[in-house]
Amino acid sequence: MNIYRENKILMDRYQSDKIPILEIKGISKAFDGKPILRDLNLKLFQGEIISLLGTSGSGKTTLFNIVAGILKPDQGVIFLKGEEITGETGHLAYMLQKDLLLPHLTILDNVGLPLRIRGKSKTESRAEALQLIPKFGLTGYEKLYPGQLSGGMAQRAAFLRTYLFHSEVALLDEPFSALDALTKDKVQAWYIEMMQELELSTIFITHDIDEAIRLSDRVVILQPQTQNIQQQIIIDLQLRKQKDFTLRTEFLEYKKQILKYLTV
Amino acid sequence: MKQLFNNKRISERFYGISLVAVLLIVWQVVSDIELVPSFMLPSPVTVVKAFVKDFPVLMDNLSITLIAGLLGLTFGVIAGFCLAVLMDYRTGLCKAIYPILIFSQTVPTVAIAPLLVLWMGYGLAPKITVIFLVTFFPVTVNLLESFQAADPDQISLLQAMGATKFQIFYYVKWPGALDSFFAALKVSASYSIVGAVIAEWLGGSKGLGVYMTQVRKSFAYDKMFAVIFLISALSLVLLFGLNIIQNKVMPWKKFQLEEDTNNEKKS
Repeated sequence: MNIYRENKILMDRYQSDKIPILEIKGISKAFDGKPILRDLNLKLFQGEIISLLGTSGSGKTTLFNIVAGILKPDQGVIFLKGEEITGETGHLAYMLQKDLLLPHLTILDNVGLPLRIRGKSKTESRAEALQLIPKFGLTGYEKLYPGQLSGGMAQRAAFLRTYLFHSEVALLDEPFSALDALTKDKVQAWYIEMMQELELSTIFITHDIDEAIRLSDRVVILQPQTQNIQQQIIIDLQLRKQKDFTLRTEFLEYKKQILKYLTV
Repeated sequence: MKQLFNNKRISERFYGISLVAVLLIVWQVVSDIELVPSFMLPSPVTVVKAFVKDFPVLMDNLSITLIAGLLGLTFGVIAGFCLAVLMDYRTGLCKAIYPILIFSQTVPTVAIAPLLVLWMGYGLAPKITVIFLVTFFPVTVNLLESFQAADPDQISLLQAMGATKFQIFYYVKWPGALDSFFAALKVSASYSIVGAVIAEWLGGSKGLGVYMTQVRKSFAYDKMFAVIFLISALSLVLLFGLNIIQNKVMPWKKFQLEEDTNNEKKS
C-alpha cells in the first residue's frame, strides 16, 4: 500500500468541497534575517483536529504566535471564517504547555479571565464560568487557588479558560506534555470528547508522534524552513475509533510515514 | 501536619527568645559586678526603670517621629511605585533613570541631611525628604525587577486574549510583584524610622532623635538606651504589622509555599 499516493488523493478530495474555518496563507517570518517560516499554507476545517509535528526550530510556536496575533508575519495573511485577522489578538483560543493559571486568582476567576479581559464585569464572568464548571469536572474546585490543584486538574481548568475565549478555533501548544503518562491518557480522551461536544476546531503542537496519530484527523509535518515543504497525512477516522488502533499495522504505517517525512 | 508546623514555629521562637534572655542576664551581671562602669553601660533593669519613668515624654516624642516616618514612607513608596511602573513601561526611560537612581543611593544620607536642613529649615520638610530618599529606592528596584521577571508565556497568553498593557500589568505583573513589594516595604519601613531619627539629630524641637541628642549631652545613658530600645521596638511593630497585612492581602501565598516544598521533597 502506498500511503503517500493514497494520501495525496485523499487530501484533494478532503479539501475540495469544504470552506476552511481558519486559513493560513503564505505566511513568512524571519528573525534577525534568519527565516523561520517560509510561505506556509494551512487550512483548518470545521470540527477538525490537526496536529503539527516538527523538529525543534521548525517554527511551530512562531506560527502559533502569528496566528494568535501576538507576532506580525513578514508576509502572508490569516483568515478566520473568511475574515482577515492578521496581527489581531483576541480572536482565537490559545493554550500553552504550562497551565499558566494565575496563582493569585481562584479557579473560578482564573477560568473567567478571558471574559474579564473582554470587559465583562466580575459578576458576569463568574456566573458564566460557574455554569461550565461541572461540565469540565471542576465542581468543588471553584474557590481553590491553583497552588492547591494537581497537574491534571489544573490542565482541566486551563482548558475551560481556553474554551471561555469563546472562539471556535483553539490553538494548543503541547497541552499534554507536562502531564504524567496516566493522567495524559485520561485528559486526552476527555479533551476529544469535550471538543466534539463543544464543536471546537483545533490545531495542536506536539512532539509525540503516537499522540499526533491517536488524536488528530490530520498530521501536518513542518520541516525546517530551508526546505519549505509541508507534508500532511490524513488519519482514517474509522481506524482511529478502533480500540486496538495503536496496536494495528496501519498505526505503524502512519508512524513510519511520519518518521520518513520528519527525517528528510 | 498543621500541628507539627505550629510546634516547629514555637520551638524556633523558643531558641530565639532563650538567646535574648541569656544575653540580657549576661549584660545585667556585667553591669552589676561593674566590669564596665555603670554610667557607660547601664544595666537592663536601670534602662527599664528609665523607660517607665520617661514613658510620657517618650510617647510624646515618638508621635512626632512616627508622623515624619510614616509621611516620608508614604511618599517614598508612592514615588518608588510610580517610578518602577514608568521604568518598566518605557525601556528608554529605564536606561536614563537607572544610573541616577544608583547614584542617589551612594550619597550618604548623614552627609546631605545638614544641607537639606540648610535649604528647608528645621520643620518637617527636610525630615520627610531624608526619609523619602532612603525609602523609595528599595521599592523601585524590587518592583522593577519583579515586573521584568514576569513569565513571558503568561504575557503571551493574555495578549492572545486581547489584553491591553494595563490589563497585563493588573493581572500578571503587579500580583507577581506583590511578594517583593512587601519585602521592599519591610526594608523601607525600618529605614524610615532610622531616617527620621537621623534627620532629627540635625535639628528640630521634638522627636526621638532630638530627645536622644538631649539625653546624650546630659550623659543620661540609661535614658539613651531606653530610646534606642523604643526605636527598635517601633521598627519591629511596623514589620509585624506589615506581615499581618501581607497575609491578609496574599491569601494564596501559603498554597504556593506548600507546592514549592512538596516539589522539593519529590526531587
